[in-house]
Amino acid sequence: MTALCRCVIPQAPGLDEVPLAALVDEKLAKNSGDGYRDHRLPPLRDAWRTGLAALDNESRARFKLPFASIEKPAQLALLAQIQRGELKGSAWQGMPSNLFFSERVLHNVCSAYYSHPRAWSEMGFGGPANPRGYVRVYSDRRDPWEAAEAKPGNEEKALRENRRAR
Amino acid sequence: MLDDAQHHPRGKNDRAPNVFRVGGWMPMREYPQNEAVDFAMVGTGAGGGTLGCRLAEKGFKVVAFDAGAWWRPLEEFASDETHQAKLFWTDERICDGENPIKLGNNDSGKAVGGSTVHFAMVSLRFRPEWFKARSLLGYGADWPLDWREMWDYYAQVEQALAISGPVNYPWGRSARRSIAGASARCACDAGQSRTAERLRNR
Repeated sequence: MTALCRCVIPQAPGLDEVPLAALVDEKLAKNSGDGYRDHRLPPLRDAWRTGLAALDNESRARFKLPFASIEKPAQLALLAQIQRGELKGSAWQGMPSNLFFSERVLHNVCSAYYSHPRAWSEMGFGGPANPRGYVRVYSDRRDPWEAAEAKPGNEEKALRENRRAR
Repeated sequence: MLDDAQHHPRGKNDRAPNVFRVGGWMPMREYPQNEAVDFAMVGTGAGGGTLGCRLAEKGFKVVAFDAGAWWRPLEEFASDETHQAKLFWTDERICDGENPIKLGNNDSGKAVGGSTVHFAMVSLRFRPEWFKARSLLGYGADWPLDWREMWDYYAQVEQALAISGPVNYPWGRSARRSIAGASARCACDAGQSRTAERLRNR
């Protein structure tokens, strides 16, 4: 799962890494689905169990190594085949691999990533406006709680202003 | 995560949480198990909650059921998506067919208040011509009632649900909502839109 997440959303390993595998695992532990399911996919937990096992199975068949141990280019090539729905072995138990990729892997991993404040900071989103609301809704204005953008050459000014952003 | 409300029912002992006050309560009628009541509402969303309220105001004995929690919005939510997920009704629905539709996990609410706990106070009115979709637009079905009849009900429901939006609607007839009660009716003949004219001439 960790290796798969690192393929979908590459991050520099370390303390700043959003713990994607743990977040998806928490969702699976709680079995908290989306409230709807494509009938061609099994329930949340079964889809992940089957999909991860099939992925590992394919990797072992080709490289005699589990998915997490093969080289990154080989991992990506394998995932590209899954994305195109080209893998159909018995390990998939009839689950279309392209649907597993788009509706489980992408959906769950990307949702986990973009629910994390670190991902918001990366793209300059200060988090939901609730309960303060947006007041200064004009072009190039921001509310007092929003961080100023550190445009090239303006980094120090932005840093100074952002000490006041609450 | 703050989820006490999901484990301990709060609307009991003749009181209910006051969602506008931190830690506040407000009185609520409670009926013993063996007492007959006039109405039992199943679900307290935009339909059941609104109707139950109106019936109770008219003096009927009303009991309302809801599967979800009675949240205190000022205290129990961090302002992020993970906390908001506590409001969603995510019991599994299967999307069938050759081209299964993708729903959202926030399409339905599971809380006292139903989807009105997270509907962003948006509830759009039908356009007049959609009430005669079959005969005017060639698809769907004609509704068995006139759009002008609905316009007064829209005004009432929008008041009851405290929806946000324009004072004057961009379609249909204009109405001065600030004048309580008489509003929709008096504006009726004054400001007929072109669409209304067209509908009336048919």
